[in-house]
Parts: sequence; C-alpha cells; structure tokens
Amino acid sequence: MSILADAKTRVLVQGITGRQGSRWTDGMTGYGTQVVAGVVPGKGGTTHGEVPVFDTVAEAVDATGADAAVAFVPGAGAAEAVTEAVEAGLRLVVCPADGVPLHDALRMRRTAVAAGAVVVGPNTPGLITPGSNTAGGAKLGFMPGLCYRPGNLGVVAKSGSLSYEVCWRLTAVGIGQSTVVGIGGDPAKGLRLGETLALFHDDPETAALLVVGEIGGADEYEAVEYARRPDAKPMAAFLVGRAAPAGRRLGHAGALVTGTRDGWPAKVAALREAGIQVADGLSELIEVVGGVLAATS
Amino acid sequence: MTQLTEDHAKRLLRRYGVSTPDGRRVGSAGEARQAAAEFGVPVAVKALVPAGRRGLAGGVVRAGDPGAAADAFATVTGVEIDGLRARSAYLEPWTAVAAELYLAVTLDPDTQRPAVLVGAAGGVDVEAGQRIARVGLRDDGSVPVARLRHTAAGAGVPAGDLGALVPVAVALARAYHALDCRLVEVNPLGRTDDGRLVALDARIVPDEHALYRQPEIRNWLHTADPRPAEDRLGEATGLDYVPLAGRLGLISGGAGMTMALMDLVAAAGETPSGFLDCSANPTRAGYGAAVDLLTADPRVAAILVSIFGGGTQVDRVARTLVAVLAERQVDRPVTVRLMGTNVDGADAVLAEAGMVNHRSIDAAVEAAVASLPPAGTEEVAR
Repeated sequence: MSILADAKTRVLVQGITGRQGSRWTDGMTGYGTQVVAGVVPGKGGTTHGEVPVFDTVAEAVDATGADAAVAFVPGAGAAEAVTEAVEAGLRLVVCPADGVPLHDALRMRRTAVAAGAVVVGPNTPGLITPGSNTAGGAKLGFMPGLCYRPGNLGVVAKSGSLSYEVCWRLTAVGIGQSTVVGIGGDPAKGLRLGETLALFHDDPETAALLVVGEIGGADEYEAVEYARRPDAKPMAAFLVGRAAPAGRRLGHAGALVTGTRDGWPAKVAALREAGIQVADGLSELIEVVGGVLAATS
Repeated sequence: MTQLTEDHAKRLLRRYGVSTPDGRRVGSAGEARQAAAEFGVPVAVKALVPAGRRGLAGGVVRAGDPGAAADAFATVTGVEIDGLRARSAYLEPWTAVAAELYLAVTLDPDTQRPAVLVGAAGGVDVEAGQRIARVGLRDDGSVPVARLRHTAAGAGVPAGDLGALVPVAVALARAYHALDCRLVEVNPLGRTDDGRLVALDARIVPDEHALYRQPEIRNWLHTADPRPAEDRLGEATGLDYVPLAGRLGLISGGAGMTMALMDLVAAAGETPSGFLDCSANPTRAGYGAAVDLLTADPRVAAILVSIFGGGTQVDRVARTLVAVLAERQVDRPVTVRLMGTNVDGADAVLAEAGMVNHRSIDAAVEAAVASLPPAGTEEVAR
C-alpha cells in the first residue's frame, strides 16, 4: 500500500485552472493519479478536461468523495486553501507552495494536528507512490515521474531537487521506492521527518528507509530518535551541505540560534552513532543504500 | 537573513512596551556632537548596519564628550562590519547596568514551534557556552508565565529579575506574532541600578515571505542604506546568492541540489564562487542576472550550470541559456548539466548551439574543473 497515497486515492486539486495547477494536474493524471475534482472559487460548474470544477472544497468532496487534496495556490494564500481542505474533512493535503509565511505554516500545522490530518509541505514537490505496469501509482505534486520505480525503500527528503537526483540514481540501478515524501525545506513544516518514518515503520511494503537531509534545522535528529527503536527498520542517510562554510546560512533557512548542532559533522556523527548508514557523498549513495537493503530479511 | 537596524527594531519593541534608552539616529559627525550635548555624556555611538557583533568590529564606541561623539561617528561609520559600512549611527545615553540577560523569541528548531529563549549572561559573547533555556509558547502564542519563571531561574536569572523579565518576554512574543518575525531578540537585556530591565540592543529578523503584509518593515528593508548586495539582488532578480570567492562559477536550481553541487566541486579540490540558486526565477531575466553576476567577478574563470528540473522544464532552460550566453558573448568556458522534465528537448537545443549536455552531474563537475586554467594562474583581468 505504501504510505499516504496510492492509485486508489481520490485527489482534488485546488487551483486547477491556474498555470501551475493545470500543468501539474495533467502530469498527475498522466502518471495514473485519480484526479476527481478541482476547486477554484468562482469557477464552479466548469470543467478542466474531464475533471469537474467546484467553488469550494466542501462541495467538491460532497459531489465526488475526494479524500486528498493538492493545493496549487501561491504562498500568500496557500495556508488558507489548505485550512479550507482540512476543515472540509480531508485527511491528506499536499502544499507545494514556496513563500508561505512562517506564521501561516505554524497555523496550518496546528489546524492539521487538531483535525488528525496530514499536511505535506510547504515548499515541496509533493509525494509519490511509484507505479508500474501491474500496480498503479500516484503522484500528488510535480516531481518528474522518470525518477521513480516501485520498490520497498521508503524515502523522506527535505530538498525537492535533491530528491530527484537521488531517486533517479536509485531507479537507474533497480532500487525502487515504496513512497517518496518531500517534507519540504521550510523551518516550520507540516508532516515532520520523524512522523514520516513512523508511517513507513507501519507500512508492510517498506523494508528499509532513506533520509535525504542537509545542514540547517534539526530534522535529521528525528531520524536518530527513530533509529533508537529496537524494531527500527534499517536506515541509510545522505546529507548535503558538507562544503558549506561554517557560519554561513545557505538556501533553506538555517537555524537562527547559532551553534554547531545544525552543521554536517554533528548531524552525520549522531546519525552514525545511532546505527544509520550515512553516505559520505553522492557517489557512495548506491553502495550504502544497497547495504541497508541487504540487511533487511 | 536580513535584520532590521537597531533604531527600527527598538522603535517597534517600544510599541509593545519594552523599555529602551532614549536614542537618536544621526547622519553626520555634527549631528552626533549635537545629540551628545543634548543627551548628556557619556553616550553610546553605534553603527547602523543590519549586522550583529558590531562591538567586536569596532562599531560601538563610548564617547565621553560631544567632541568624542563626533569622532566616534567617524570611527563607527569607517569600519566594515559583515562587508557593510554604516552611513549613519545611533546615539543613546550610555546606560550603566549591573547585569545583562539574554531574551529572545524564535522558532525552536527541535520542536518547530515558537519558544522564548532566556539566558543569564547576555552580551556579545552569548554563544560562548552560556546556558540558554527554552520555553515553548502555547498554541495561541501566549507565554506560559509560571514555566518561564521556573525555567529562567534554572538558567541562572536572579530571582529579583523574574518579575521584570516576564512582561518583556510577553512583549517580545506579541511582537513576534504581530510583526511576522523569524526572530525577536534583546541582547543584552540590562538591569539598571533601580532594578528595571532595559533593552540595550535589539535585533529583529523579519519573515521575508510575509513582507507583503508588513508594509512598514518592507519599506525599511528596501530603503536600508547600507543594504547587503545579495538582498538587493534577490529582490530584483529572485536569485538566492551567497558569495564564497572561489573561481568556479556555479548556477544551480534548488537549495539541496546547489549544496550537492558545491559538495562535489569541493570534493574535486575546487572552490565554488558561491551558492547561487536560480530556481525562484528560471527565466531569461533570472539566468541573465546569474551569468552577469558571475562574469562580473574577475575571480570566476569558468562557469558550471547544473539544473535537475521537476517543476522546471529543462528544454526551456536550455533555450534560455543559449540565448543568454549568445547575447553576452561570455568568454569563460561554460559547462552544462540539465536533467529532468523534457531533458531530451534540452539535449537537442544544446546540440544545435554546439554545446554538450552532461547528463551526469559527476561528469559535468569533472568537465567544469578540467575547463579551469591551472591553479595559480593570475586571476582574469577585466
């Protein structure tokens, strides 16, 4: 079944008629995702190809039985769109938008947690359960399908672009993925890294885990926490930012409280100490992941 | 991450009830002299730059008379702090304090929730080994006061200061939310002889994603003088740029892949010219600005463009790159690696322009490093 979404998931796309929304919806349906509805305030009653469009998420859910949403809505309006979806009863909402204000992201997560829903993102390409000719897959987001193939490695990543490179390499040597989840690079996330690992832990189709991380923040320590479980699944990790000069904040917001804990050496040391196999560089990735998969029984 | 200057940060915090010394922004030695005469000496003369640790860089001077204040203005506007030179200074009556605390509200990276940070030894070297304790805010943004008192005491804050500490923490938390901040920090929070707590310095780091709804802060940031060049560049072009002074110019997409590229370049024994992520503006204007940035840098001897596009269609990137390079007649060697959505189209576009698309990032890094002149060659004069 993999985690969160698969070919049976009935997906609703907020912003389906926008430039991003329409392009990525076509990409999702082309991959096999069941897109059953679109939501664009003021465009209710129209269609996007075969997909009926509604004014509100509640109306769309009522009419189509959608059970998940992807919000292709720009950053300033994204949290509101996601909140509307959660309030309408959806238990999975993917929020690809970048530029979501920090305090909106905090509010979005609180709403989701209170409702028992999962919000993936913000600032992520989304999540994908790879499909094959025999078992349908689904993607909720805009990652390029060519990077993925079905398998039993669960992947969780902070960086979208890096997750493409990593999965493309794995796929090329036949290492397939159960589900690949982009939790995004923002400091206040929806679904957390540790929560994703817990979902993979309970998924019978996931035999081993890969964490794709980086400098900044403390997410990777959630993997250390998970690995302390006596029944933890074998885990590999790959972190970028090794060459970043100390004290400089690059790209995704680094921690504002200075220290060494969010640097590459501290994270890698902690991961290794917990028994997680860490690739020193991209070129060691396949070997390390292969080793971890061989450890599954 | 850009912060407000001290004068603006203090102005905002005063609105929330935080005590600060009187202060005045001055734009000349003459104004400094005048302000010192009016405040009474001694005064603190501080460089107005959006940077921390000004004291260590010579950007904070105590002046004992108006003449010294005028000299101090020249001193603090003459030093470079984080690559910036102040155009104006902030004058305050010198405030004698018996103790210095640390107080801030920011996201706790472990919980990814806002927290109050409190320490008993504020001042410039706050990072050096002091115990900073954290108290998470409630879901509604309020400060759990009893827990704050208990935690602050445990961190070494004297019992006599706890009563005065609480309203300052509450004020910082309110400002943090209302002003869409990433960080609100008072360091040091000083205790005067009469037991009051006064913000001797203040730092506010706004959330760049919320500037659209914080017009006063947006205006201050955009009209700041000096303003970090990378900020101005980011606002104008969408490029996310951190210069690093190496000779291999990198243009990349996505923070993670940019860091991965830098790691590969470093492993090959070279230094990147910087972290340069174009993903926010993958257009002619964006790539044009990136190429211009690199070609204007005399240290950059070769350029490597590496994009793995998911949302970004790399055949369009190829077309844009070819046009941008042709327009500028770039004379440094350019190595390209495009992969992802529409990569076959990218191959064709580049081939037509007589360029190779290195599908593998390892091959691209190797080719780019090989395209550099031998190490030690004089930097290219322009």
